Amino acid sequence: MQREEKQLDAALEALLQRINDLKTSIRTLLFRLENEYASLSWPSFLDSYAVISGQMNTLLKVMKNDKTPLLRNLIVLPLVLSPDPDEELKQATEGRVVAFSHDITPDMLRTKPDPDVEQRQNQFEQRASQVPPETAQKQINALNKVVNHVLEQITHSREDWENEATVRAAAAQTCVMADTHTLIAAVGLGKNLKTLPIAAPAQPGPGRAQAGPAPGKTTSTIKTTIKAASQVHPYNR
Amino acid sequence: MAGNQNPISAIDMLTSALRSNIIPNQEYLLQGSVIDSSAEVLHNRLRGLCDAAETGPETFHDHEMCFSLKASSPGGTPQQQQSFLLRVRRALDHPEYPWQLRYLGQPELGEKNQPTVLRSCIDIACTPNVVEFLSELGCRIEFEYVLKGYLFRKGRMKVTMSKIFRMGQAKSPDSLEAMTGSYLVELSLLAPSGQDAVADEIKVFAEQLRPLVHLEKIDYRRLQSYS
Amino acid sequence: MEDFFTNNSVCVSVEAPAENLVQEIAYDGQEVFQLPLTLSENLTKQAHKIDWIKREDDDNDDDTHSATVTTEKKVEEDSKKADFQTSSWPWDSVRNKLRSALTEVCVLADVLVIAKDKRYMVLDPVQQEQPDQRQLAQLFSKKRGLTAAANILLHGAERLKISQSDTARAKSNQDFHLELLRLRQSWTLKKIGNSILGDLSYKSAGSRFYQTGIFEVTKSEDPDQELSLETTSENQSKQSMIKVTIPPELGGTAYIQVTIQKDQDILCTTNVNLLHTSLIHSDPSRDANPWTSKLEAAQNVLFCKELFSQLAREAVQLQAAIPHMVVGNQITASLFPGIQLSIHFQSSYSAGVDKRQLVSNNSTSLVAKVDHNYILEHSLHQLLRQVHLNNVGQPVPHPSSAPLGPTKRRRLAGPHAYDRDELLLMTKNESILEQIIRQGQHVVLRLRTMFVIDSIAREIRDPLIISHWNVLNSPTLSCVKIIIMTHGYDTLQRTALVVHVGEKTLKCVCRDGRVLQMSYEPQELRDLILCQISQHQINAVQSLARFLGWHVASSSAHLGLGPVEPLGNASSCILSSPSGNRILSVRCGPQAAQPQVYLSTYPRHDTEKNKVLTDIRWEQLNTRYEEVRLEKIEGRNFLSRMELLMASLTCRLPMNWE
Repeated sequence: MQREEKQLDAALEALLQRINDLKTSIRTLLFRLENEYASLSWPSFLDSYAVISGQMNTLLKVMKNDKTPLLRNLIVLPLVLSPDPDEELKQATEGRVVAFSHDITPDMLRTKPDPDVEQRQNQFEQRASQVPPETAQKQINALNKVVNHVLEQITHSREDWENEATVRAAAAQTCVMADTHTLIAAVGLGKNLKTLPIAAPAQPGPGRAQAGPAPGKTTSTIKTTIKAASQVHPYNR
Repeated sequence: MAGNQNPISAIDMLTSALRSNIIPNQEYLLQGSVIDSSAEVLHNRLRGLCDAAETGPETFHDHEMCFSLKASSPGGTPQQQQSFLLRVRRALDHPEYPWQLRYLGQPELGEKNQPTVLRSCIDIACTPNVVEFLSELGCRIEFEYVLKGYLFRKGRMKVTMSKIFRMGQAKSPDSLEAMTGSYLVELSLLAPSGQDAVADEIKVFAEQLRPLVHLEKIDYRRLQSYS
Repeated sequence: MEDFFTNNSVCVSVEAPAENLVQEIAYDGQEVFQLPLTLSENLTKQAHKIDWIKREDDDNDDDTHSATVTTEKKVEEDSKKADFQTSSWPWDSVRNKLRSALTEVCVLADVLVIAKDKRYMVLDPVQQEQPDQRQLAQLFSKKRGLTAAANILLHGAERLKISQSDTARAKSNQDFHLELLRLRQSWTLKKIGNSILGDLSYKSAGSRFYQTGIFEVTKSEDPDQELSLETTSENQSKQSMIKVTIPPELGGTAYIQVTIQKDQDILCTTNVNLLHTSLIHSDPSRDANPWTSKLEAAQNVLFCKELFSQLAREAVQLQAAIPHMVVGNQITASLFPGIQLSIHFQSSYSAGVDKRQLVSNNSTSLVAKVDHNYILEHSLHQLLRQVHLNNVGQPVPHPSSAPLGPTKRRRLAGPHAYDRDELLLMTKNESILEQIIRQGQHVVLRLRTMFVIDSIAREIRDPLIISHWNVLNSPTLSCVKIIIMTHGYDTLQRTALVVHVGEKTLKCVCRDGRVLQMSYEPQELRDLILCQISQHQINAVQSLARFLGWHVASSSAHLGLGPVEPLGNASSCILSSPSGNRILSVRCGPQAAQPQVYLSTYPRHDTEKNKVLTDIRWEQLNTRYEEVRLEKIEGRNFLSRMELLMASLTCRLPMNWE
């Protein structure tokens, strides 16, 4: 029970998150529509729509997620009605619900879809009821087949495109990161540039002293010298 | 004239100039490289993008010597010992130009959203006997190399693409050995401190060279372990 | 409160109960009142009751003023909405859909939030039977969705197909691209977003003028019109497919007029303009591309603006003895006392067409009066270009890590320990205005010099004054050679002098090697030439005398005798005839129109009366000098008369010689 409740909470949290995202983007789009409609360009508008539709999809995904309890099996149960304004409630709902009163609760408990949607749904139902079950099954199968085929084609060509792009990018390889590093290390630190140090070991190389770990407080001069000298060696080649 | 009578005033003027941020001592830098086979493409692109396209490419052929100076404060402990690099550079193709003594500070990468590396930078023009002078001061030559390449200008920005050569044992310019099969590409801008807006300008320009060359913030101190 | 709003719509005012409605009565008889409506809720509620149409007919009631304001706002909003619906707002259905979607989402969010809170509502798990799948209904809805999506795709594909297959379209497109290519060959273009922008400024040439020269390139006209025209005639097909839109501030025409004035007299004028008439007519490609002239005109305006603003800035900055004035579109600088250089910026854009015509009339008449000074025009062009070049042509640093900017000399300054003077010398940079002023001064000085020489040549016919101006000269230095000689005796004596006309001074090199510096005052040159003339006459007489076998007894270029000349000195010479019995004295002063000649002869005619000195040698004493009235002698000029005089004196031996 505990676990389920927790799961429910988490799912609710996730849902709310998505819904809020959705809300924000719809609001932004509305705002833009109302205030910048003169300069609004069709592509950017479509982009906004794409964002919304993407958010819808993620919302649906969250709902279908395994960890989300079956929402169908949950009902909204009002516990108490109160006409008193509840500041907390107000804040949580961004000022939309001031009090959990008689006025507003029925809206919340609504189970019917939007009239438009309902009407459309009814149309479909009606049409569906006119078709005999065998034909229906056939149609479903046919549609699935076609859709799968199209989907396959689309993914196929998409792969092709992406391949092409990557091939092109690979062909236009114009810089090597390793070379960049070699060159910069050479110019900045003299890496691979230092000539055979004949008298060099007497003094620590400055580049290394800078870059290497700072000698500890106990390290003596002699020690650093030795360290430096040993460090010079690898570059001699 | 007044400076002769009162040498302090010159220093005062210098410090006040420093304080009022009019000395360009900050270098905004992005680095990258391009392989030799694509160098020509980059060269053409830069010619198109940069100023003075009609005068043709400017070439350079420089020799740089890096000196290290171990500066220890008198009576200081070894921990306070610091050494830094002084770079002396001369133009091999233009012997009549003065030599350049250059100090480069530690590159600051800053935050992730800072577009470029920032390092302090002091340039002094000098005569060829700077080498002896530095030796007298106790500087020791650390390494040297030769650069050959092209220089471009875009407003205040400077773009160099240079081939780095190792000096041979003979130390003559003939015995040059290229470090890599790539050109080092540097995009830099020298400005007084506090003009961070120019960094964005540099970033925008660097974006225009993609994907031919990726100019990035690279901290060479991190390349220490890289072999 | 209640009636306050109600009043608004319903004429009959209904008194609302003073207190809030009773929501419920508890079993113990306590009344629970309904919460007062919040303002917005109230408004929404009341808004439903308002009869908008009726409201419009009604008069405003004063006591419902505040409400009226609110409702009117609503009305406004509604009417706005109506506007959107009817014409300019195609987004309305979209917005309504979005609105309702937003409402739904908000309600969903609220329900979830409240349920999560668990105070008022909870999500209660119940067992429910598996709903029937109703696959077929889903099928229909999916089908419908797919059809809609497919339709959109097909529609797009159709349009693409049409645009490609439509040959006319394709052709016009091709033309457009060809022209774009041609445009690109001479102008900077780049594509930003969906528009093609060009730049006609001199930025790439080094200009740092603030004004941008961005222009937009669009495809001209709608293709339908093009289609209909295409069939009609060939001329129409030549119509350009490209339309360039230049910023309004660069429209029209502009030029800079430079005039040099002395009081009201215009000494010199020039119009600076990129669009030279000769150029416009000579270039055949201009007809082919109508945009060329438009862009060039705009570029010209930009050029003139930049030039003028640069000059104006310099005029303000320059510390001149007589400060330069910048008033409106005019810069005035003083060249010499009383002589002014004024630079006008003339633009047809600011004042419209009438002014343009006025200006052009004006300018043509001016040009007709005073000839156009091409050198000054050229110089202005050249100078601005030079500034540009200096901006661009920064020296390249060597070694490559050296900072950009400083010149080679400045780089060397440190290592070579330049002193203050050398450094100051390096910073000296002459502005355009200064150079123009110097050129203007030169122009004035040259005009003056010309005038002086010409007027002297006109005044003095004898000797002849010939001036020869060098063809090659610099904008601030020209050179004139003045030759003084006498007609018919040019091989005998030529006096030449060279005058270098500078900016403020004249330098005169005389025949004898003397170098004279003179100020810009024309009188000085005049005096010099007059002196030279007088000396020329004396020298010429001497040469002539030698030619004729006379002796030059003495000559002096600076005679200390006789009346004092107002300027310079008179010169003179004394000539004696071969036999020595005739002596001529010639004196010529700079101010005198003609030289004076005096003759003395021996034997004296009056010696006969001298009874004391009987010896013949006393007869050889000269008589007093008598002036010869040269104008009575025949001859075209002074020298020919002198020749005649000397010849006659030579041959006519004294009667009582033996």
